[in-house]
Amino acid sequence: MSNVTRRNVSNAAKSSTSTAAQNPQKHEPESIVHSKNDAHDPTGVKTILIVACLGCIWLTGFASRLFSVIRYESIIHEFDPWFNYRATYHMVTTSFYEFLNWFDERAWYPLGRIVGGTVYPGLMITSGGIHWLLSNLNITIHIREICVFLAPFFSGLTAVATYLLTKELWSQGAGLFAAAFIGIVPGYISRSVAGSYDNEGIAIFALMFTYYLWIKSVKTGRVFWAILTALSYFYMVSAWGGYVFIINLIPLHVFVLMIIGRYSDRIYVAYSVFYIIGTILSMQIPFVGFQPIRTSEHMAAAGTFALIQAYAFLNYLKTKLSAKEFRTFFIFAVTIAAGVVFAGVVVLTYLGYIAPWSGRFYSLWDTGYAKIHIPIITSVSEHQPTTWTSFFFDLHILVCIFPAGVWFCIKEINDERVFIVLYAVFASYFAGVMVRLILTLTPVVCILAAIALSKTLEYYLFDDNVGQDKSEDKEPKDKSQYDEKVPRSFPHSKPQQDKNLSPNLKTLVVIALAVLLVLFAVHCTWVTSNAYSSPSIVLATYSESGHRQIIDDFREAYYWLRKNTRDDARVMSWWDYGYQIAGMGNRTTLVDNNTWNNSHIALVGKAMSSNETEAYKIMRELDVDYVLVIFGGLIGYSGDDINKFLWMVRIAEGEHPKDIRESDYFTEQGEFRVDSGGSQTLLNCLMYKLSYYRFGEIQVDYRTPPGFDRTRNVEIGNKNFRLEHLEEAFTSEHWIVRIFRVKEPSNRVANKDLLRKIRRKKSVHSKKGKKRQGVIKNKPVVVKGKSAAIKK
Amino acid sequence: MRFLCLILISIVSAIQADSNADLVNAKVERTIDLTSHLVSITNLITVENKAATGSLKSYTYTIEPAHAKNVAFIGAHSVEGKKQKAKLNVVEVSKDSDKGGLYRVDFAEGLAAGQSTQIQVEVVLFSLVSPFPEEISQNEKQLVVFKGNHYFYSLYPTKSQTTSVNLASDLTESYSQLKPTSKSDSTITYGPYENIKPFEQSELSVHFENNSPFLAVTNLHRTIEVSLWGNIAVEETIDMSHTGAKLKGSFSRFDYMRRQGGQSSVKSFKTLLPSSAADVYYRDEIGNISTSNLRVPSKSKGEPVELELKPRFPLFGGWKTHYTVGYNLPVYQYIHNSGNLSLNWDIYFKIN
Repeated sequence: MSNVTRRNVSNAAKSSTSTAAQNPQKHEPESIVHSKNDAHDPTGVKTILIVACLGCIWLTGFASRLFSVIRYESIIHEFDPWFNYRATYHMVTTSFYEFLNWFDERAWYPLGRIVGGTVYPGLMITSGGIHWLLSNLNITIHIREICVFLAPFFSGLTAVATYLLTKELWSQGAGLFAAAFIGIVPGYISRSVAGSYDNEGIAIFALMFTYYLWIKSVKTGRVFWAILTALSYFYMVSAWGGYVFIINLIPLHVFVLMIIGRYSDRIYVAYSVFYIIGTILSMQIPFVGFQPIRTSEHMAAAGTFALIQAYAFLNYLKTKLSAKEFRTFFIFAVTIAAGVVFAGVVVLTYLGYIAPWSGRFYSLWDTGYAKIHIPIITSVSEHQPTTWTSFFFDLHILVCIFPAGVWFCIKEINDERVFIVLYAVFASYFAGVMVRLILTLTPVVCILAAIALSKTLEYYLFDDNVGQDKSEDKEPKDKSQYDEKVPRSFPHSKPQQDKNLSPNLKTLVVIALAVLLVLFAVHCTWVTSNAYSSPSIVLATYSESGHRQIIDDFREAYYWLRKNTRDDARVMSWWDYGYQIAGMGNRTTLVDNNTWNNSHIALVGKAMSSNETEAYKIMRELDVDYVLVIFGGLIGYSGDDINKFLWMVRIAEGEHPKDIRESDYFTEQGEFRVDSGGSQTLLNCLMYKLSYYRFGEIQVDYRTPPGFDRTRNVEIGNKNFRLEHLEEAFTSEHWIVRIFRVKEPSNRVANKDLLRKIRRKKSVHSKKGKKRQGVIKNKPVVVKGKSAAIKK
Repeated sequence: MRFLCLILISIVSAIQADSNADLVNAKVERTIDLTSHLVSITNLITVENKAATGSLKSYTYTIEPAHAKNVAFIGAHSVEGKKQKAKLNVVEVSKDSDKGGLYRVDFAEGLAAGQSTQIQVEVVLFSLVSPFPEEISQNEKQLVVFKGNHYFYSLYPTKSQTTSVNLASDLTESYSQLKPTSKSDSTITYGPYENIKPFEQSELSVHFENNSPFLAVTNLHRTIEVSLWGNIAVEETIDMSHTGAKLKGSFSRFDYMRRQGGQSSVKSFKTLLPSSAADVYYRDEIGNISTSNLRVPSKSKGEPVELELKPRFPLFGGWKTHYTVGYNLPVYQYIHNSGNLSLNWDIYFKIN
């Protein structure tokens, strides 16, 4: 019941602050609607029902994210979560300040990494805080379990936040729908299954909650809500780099409201308070620092802030000046102000006070930009442009329904619905640019689809009493009109349609919708279980007898590194595995998933794509002790280094165009092949040799020749080679992880005369080797001729 | 100088007087088992009381000073004919690296003057078989050296003794010769030697092939959490290493898959848990180790639960691993109320 009173108060406040242009008459039906909506249940049954529904949604969302825990174990997934876990573990085992000042000398050897200043600490602080709370309550729980279950737990909070937001935008019914959708939609589950301990897991909650509070403050125009918005925004900033989305979308909302003539003091208060407090708070995060006032990504917010001040000032002047004076002054002032702001930004950018747009930002606008300039961004699969199938895969029917929601919102527009429409438009665009950004689209799709469904169901469900239905139908129309002009023709057309529809038809529509929803739930469960619940460090295959076999090669090799190499051993691998080596192997890495230093990565890429002698020079320079490669050829694991190899070449070429050329790794026909038809540069580069070392001797299947690569389905082209500067140190059971030891340079014989005999022997030996090499060299040439002949 | 000697003599005589100087080892049959990395010595001793009067209650078993620190286990039985009879009580007297290890074996009944009896003493020694060469490549066989004593080291004179050494294989690089010595297949027989004085030593050394895994637990930490809600949670954290010949050069998975070489590597091992152990887990710092088998025996027999553990990677010489095994036990089997609550725990840890 307190809800009702608060809303009434807020409506009163709203009407008092709204401009004089508003019709005071419209205030009346609105409050009736609200009290009617909520006063349906004087006993509070409805509230209990809503709480129960949200509880069930929470439970369902939590449970459906546990597939991987049940199938495998409670384990941290994939790549980035391993770093987050390691950082959290560091924080929990030492102290918070120790964590903020943490200089990680085990990453980016020899540069190191200032972890405290280069992470969004919100995630670690959240799980650390939960751990602290539980241990103070004498509930002993390992921090790993908290990390594993954090994202599923937060999915429930996200559902509640989505409910609140949708309730503010539309109605409670739509809110429950939206909460149910966000609870199980694959687009969000993909980032929040148990074990996926990543920033997004908590950031989506922070995002939705900030938007809810923002809508609330726009509606009420109260400083209280605006400050809460800023606090929630602060949490978002501490949690995820995606906060930039908020700090651009909210100013955009304000800007659009001003343009379409919906400016009010409520918006002025909400935005001014939010921007000032939010900016100051966001600058407290070490990683963000002065970015909010110095980078182009944040300039839109600053510009909007300046604009709304000017607008408010003009509005004030309007009350003091006559209409004619005001018009001339207005034109003059706006031109000057816009000119000054623009020139200021340009000059500051030119002087270097404001950083120009970063490359990642450009890649959002121009999908081709990254491919040309920053291959490292494009090399990540989640940065690829989205395909239509993945929209459907991640959102299912919601993606079809949500445009209807947008339409309903535009049709019955008000201040906050402008926001959700803008959100939908921009998120849709961004989601089309990068697969990863489907995540930010997902909540708005859920909300709008829920609105569309709720509206449709409202229309088709109530057919018992036509009279009541009509009156109920009218009221939401009135409600939507409380502060704007909606074409009057709409309310009349609907009841007419209403009469034409038979109850049977209505039932049919409802049944069809219900079937769609059931299909949606089935799809969600299926996708979650099959696509998003693999920890990716533990693989499972099913043998012919249906017996499940666990392939645990990654942990096998990382654990070997952890236990059987020197504590300060340096491991070179492609950057994908950096966090895992640090997290599970506890060894120093050269590059990792925090791809901050492109040239260092390019150097590793160059070592991998050079021949062994060249690579050895680089590895000696970098003090490498071990080289780790991922090889899937034995069991047909597709995510291995050979398949990623071209990216290494491209990134290396970006920094060392003289030494590495991508075209050298292709055949004359422009194919990338590892069989005997492949280019000689490829067949002799370090990555090839390390992946296929002694693989040519192995015959997996009687139907295939020895050295048959099951990932690429070819017989490898270069088989009997020896390694000169490296030796195999460890290979996991299914050969997925191969670790090689970099040998010390061989001792040279100091006194030539004394050991001439030995020297001669050596040279004979090396000749032998050369001869043999020659034989190998001939082999592929012969085969090459053959294959070419076949082609012709 | 003379004075010092006198003191020494008096000390030695004092020891001898203490420990039943009238006893004689009439016949000793010693079997040294070198098939694994542990040395297990079985001594079948016929003890004779040469004294004129009085019965003797105990026999002192002695271990060479060099090996005194390496005793893992010692036990004794009385023997009649060929069969083991009653278990005899063994008490450690001293474990000094100067004097050697002295253990008092109490006879079941006093040994009367002029009588003789047979006892069997089993000793298990660790860290005495050492790899030589210390580093081998993956395809090489593991050769080890054992250094011991040709004679039965004893406080008492020995009339007659034989020693047979059982090796892991019949391939020997060398073995010490002290006539009469004979070798057949994997057994080397020394003796019989007659009339050996007390504390007589002569180095026995065998250099032979032994591919058994040299598995050693370097650190064992066991936590027992007794909850009065009815559960005992046991967790053992184990550091393990292969103390055999270190792996030199590269480890080739290909050769390992073809079962060429790497014979001395540890693929898996078994450990025994109490028969009522439940909810067994096997993990390490980075999660569950997915390769283990649990054989649960029928509850009624009270057999131990056999847990077959496979480390994440095969352990080669010099390689280490670390893991945690934990399980739950019901309280009622282990806690008894005798005025105070007491936990009866037969602490054992076994790996093979």
